[in-house]
Amino acid sequence: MPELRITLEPADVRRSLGYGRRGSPSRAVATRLAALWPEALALLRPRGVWRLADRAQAQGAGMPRPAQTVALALCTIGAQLEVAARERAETDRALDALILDAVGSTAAEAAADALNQQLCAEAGRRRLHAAPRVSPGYGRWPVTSQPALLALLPARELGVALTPGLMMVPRKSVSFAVNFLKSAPRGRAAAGRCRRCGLPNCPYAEPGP
Amino acid sequence: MGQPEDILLELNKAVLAGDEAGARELAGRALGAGIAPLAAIDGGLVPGIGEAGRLWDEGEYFLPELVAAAQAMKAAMAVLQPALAVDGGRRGLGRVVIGTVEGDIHDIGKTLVGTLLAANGFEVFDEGADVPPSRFVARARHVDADLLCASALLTTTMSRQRDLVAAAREAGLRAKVCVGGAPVTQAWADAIGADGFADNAVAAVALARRLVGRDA
Repeated sequence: MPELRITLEPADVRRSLGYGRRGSPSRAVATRLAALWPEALALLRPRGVWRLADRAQAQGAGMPRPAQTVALALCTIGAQLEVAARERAETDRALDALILDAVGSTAAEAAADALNQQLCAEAGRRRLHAAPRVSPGYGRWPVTSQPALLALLPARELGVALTPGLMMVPRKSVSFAVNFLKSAPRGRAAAGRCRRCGLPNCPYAEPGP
Repeated sequence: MGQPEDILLELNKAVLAGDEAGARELAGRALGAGIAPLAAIDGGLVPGIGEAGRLWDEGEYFLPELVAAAQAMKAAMAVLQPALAVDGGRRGLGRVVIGTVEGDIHDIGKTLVGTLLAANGFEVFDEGADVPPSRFVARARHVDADLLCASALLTTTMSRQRDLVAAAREAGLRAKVCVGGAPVTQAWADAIGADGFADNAVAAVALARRLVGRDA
């Protein structure tokens, strides 16, 4: 399964732990974060897959308002990190568990970003605009659509399964879809500014230097 | 530093700083200095964890600092506990059975709530994740629990909290049922007949204290 290259910075994890611009970790927390960092990174196995689907297939997966062409995607950071976090939680090391969990959340988001970037590149090759990604369980896409979405993707090969409660296992996995649009809708650019595909005159694109 | 009041002050600071090793060492030093374990708890640990909670309320501390303080307190308690037992023991605030509901495997939030409850004087029995109502009920009956705390992290699993409330009532448990988790609201707690709802770990401690009549 295709590996994803991600780069994590401790600052990203600090944000995930709740520290914004107004706060920074105490010495005790910073020490644990630094001590756990190499182990946490070594436990990451970011992988992802995507495929194109047509409107009917995306509708079948419950996606609200799919375009004619949709990219469906699934990524995970693997199970090893969350196993380590659970072991810490079960042995009364809640701070370590919290930090590892935050590393996992940050890594899963980074993996989704990396996969998303591939989709943007594909959209750009097709002279189409990649809309912001949407996931089951958010907005108008019910989480109950998760089985139908994963059925369209090689989830098993990626090592991702669903529990009866429709949770993905490993938990640090992200499923999503991206509409490929002929023109990007105006007025939504600010939420998704990027420099991914190089498509000219795209309202999603960041202004040049 | 050798005076009892100095040791208690340092113990307080160690908890507040989340200094687990320091808290453990100071707890031993407190006993060595002849400080009664109960005095070490009430004069060193409790003010420390209380101050950590206050700083969290004021936005000075973040969740990791709070958890670090709770861990430091637990480390010190592990040293004091055997002496406390010899001394006649100490009545905790109450017994809590906690877990994530059946079908839900998220456990970090529940673990943090359990850690803070334990640091604040509750005896916590953590059943883990994916816990069916029958196991919650059996455990609560076995330990004569005061509280049952059930976490659910998805809209697809929160209905199991309703099942738990029904099972607890049907079993005639005296334990009050508290619910929490990302999609859970006070309105949901009211709708399923839960006794309480908290939307974060600190609020859960305050709720637990209130439900056992120890919110002073």
